[in-house]
Amino acid sequence: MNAAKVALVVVVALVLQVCLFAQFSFDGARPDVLVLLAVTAGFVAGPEKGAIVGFSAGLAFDVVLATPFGLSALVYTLVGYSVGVLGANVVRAAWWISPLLVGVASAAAMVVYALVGELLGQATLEGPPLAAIVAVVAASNVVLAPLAIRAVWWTRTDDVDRRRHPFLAR
Amino acid sequence: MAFTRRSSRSPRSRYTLGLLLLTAVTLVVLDLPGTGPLQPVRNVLAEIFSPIRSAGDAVFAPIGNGWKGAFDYDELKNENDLLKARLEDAKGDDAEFERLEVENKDLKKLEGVTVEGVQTRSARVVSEPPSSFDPTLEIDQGSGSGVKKGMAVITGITSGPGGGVLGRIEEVRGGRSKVELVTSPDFAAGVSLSTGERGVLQGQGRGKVLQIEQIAVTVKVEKGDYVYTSGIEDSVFPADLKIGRVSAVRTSSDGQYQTMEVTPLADLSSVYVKVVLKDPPR
Repeated sequence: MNAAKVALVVVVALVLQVCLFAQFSFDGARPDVLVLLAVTAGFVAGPEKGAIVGFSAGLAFDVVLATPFGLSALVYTLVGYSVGVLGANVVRAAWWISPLLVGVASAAAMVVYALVGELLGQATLEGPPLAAIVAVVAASNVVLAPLAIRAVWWTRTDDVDRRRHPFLAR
Repeated sequence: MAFTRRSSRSPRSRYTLGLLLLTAVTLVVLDLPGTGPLQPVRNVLAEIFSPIRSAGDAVFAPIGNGWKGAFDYDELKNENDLLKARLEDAKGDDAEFERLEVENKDLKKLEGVTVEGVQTRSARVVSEPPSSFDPTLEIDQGSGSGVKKGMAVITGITSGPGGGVLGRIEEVRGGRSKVELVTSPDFAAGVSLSTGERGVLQGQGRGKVLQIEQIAVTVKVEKGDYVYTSGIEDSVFPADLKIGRVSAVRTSSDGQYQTMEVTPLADLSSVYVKVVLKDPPR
């Protein structure tokens, strides 16, 4: 992956999150495009790159959040890596497998975030209902996944194989 | 495919994961409450991001306004805020009369509580919480306006104290500040009741009432009583700012104490707020 391109994608995602998606509140629950970046990076580029993009996206998000610095980086690293491991073992024959994986991974990420936050005394379960957060983040990320995958795809450095990703081929 | 996938079982993948997790955990530990060596770094990064964010705000503001407008929000909301702030000020006058009456009757009980005029700085809420897990708001006044961490934030638009306590400044980053809302579970403030009794008020989470515990049953508290900041000792709030009204009183199972539920006076969705420019105690 090209580090400069990854940095640019992360900054653009952060601006979109803070200036645009944060305004779309459903009962206090808001979309999370930074975790989408971690999920799609793991899905498209494998566990190692998923972890790196997840860490970068999480760390960037931490700059604008009031939660402890590194909390998002910790959770998104785990998410990016886990999706990379899972994605390698998922048969992607059916068209709905990819969006389902993105949705489930995003939902799981929010649950993990809430639990880790609680462990660190952040009262993350005292805010908007977790069910609403999970539903909003999963649904919005399924819709936005094709764009995120294109963005992650753009950061590649090698052109060994130009086959398109199944998610983009639809 | 174009990305070279490395097996999840490869030592390098695990090494990378371990390194990133270790870094993240270290950052979290260093930034936990009570520490804070990372705060300057965080501030610098936020400063660097600030112009990009401002540009983004300008570009996406119409979309955000459209979204809010779709839910009957925008201008009506501002006008509503204005009227509510005036109403809160009027409520404040009633509360002030009630407080002074009690103070005259039982001045000795209020010994140690100070009442003083405080300067305020008007501010506008410029940013919603960026994440579902972030309970803070962002206002458009920062260190350049004299805003400091720990200062009280109240609603109301007139000069001088008025409205209700909205929260306190949690972080100051250049021209912006983050406000921890009074409903946050991490929020706690020393308060005094209309009777002069003191206690500690705590937030219970978004959409929930505030709570005061461990008040002796001998203290007469009634539904509708006002609750003020006590302003004593190390309180970060000046004295006599209105926080809310008692909405329910419960007695503990052993019959010794009462727990009060308090409904905040401040409109938590206010667009306009005021920062009380009183230095928090060191």
